[in-house]
Amino acid sequence: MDKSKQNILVKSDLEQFKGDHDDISKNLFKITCAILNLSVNQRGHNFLEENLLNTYLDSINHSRDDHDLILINQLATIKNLINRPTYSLSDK
Amino acid sequence: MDEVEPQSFPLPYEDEIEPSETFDDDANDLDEGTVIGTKTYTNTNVYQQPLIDPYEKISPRMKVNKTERLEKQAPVEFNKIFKEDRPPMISDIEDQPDLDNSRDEWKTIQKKIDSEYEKKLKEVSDDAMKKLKAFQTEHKALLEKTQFLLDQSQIRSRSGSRARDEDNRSAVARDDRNRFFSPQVKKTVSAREVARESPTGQGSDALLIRQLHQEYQDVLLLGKNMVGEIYLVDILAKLHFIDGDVSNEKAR
Repeated sequence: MDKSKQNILVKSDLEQFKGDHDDISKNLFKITCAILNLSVNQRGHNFLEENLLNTYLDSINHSRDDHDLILINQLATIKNLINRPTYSLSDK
Repeated sequence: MDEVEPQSFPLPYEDEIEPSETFDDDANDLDEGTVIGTKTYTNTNVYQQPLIDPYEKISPRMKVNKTERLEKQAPVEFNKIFKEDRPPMISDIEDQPDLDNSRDEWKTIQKKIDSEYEKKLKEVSDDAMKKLKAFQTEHKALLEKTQFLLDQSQIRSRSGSRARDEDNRSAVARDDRNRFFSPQVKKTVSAREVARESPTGQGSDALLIRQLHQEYQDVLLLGKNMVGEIYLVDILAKLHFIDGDVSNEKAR
């Protein structure tokens, strides 16, 4: 899983990557809040919509026998969510 | 019972009393120069006593003893006795010139003794004051410590129930975190619902978000590898978002 393509870099101390991953780390925090059903009502309506999250969740096929594949599918969902621009987490 | 008659004892001076004494007898008893009736006494000093040898009234045995004593004991002439044989006299001491020096020496010694005594007294008092100050500071520190502990225990008892509620909520939330990576995504009870059901549910979202954000920042800072990078899987694993079984498989 560490070597999977879905395992993206979230934060780095290297000069060349500094500042590039701020949106990713912020989005990941919002995703974690959404997983826990915690709405971040700060700075306007910049929160992850429940419908959007459900759409992503529906794309995960839990009926597979291989747990690794399910996990990779979940990671891909999170990756797609956090790779979006910061203010595009809501479809409104 | 027979009555006992009171026994009469003769008084020692009964014979000397003259019951038949008249005024004429009294007049005869008076000293010469006195006047009876209209005449005045020539001897006006009633306190003047006649010149009498005191030893005449003493018994003859005592008289003998006194005379014998006076005859045997010669009058003592103190000036003729050697100084060594008699107790020292003030006149003897005052005349000595060396005694002034010894007096001065004695005064200096006395002053030294007094000064040493004062010094020792001062040292003792200083030590006592130091001990008293140390005891006072220790007592004050002990009081402050006791007060601090008392305050802490009160604060703990007050915040104990609140902390227990928060711990329960956060434990439920942590258990609920891996629901995203399990088939029962929509069936499990979320932390938010648990918070809503709790009596102190208002504003608990903000508290949980604050705690989660702190945890997230700690993972971002402390979870980096040797190069200083952190990846998505590492963050999710450290935040307990991945199921335990899956994370164990990952470790293998």
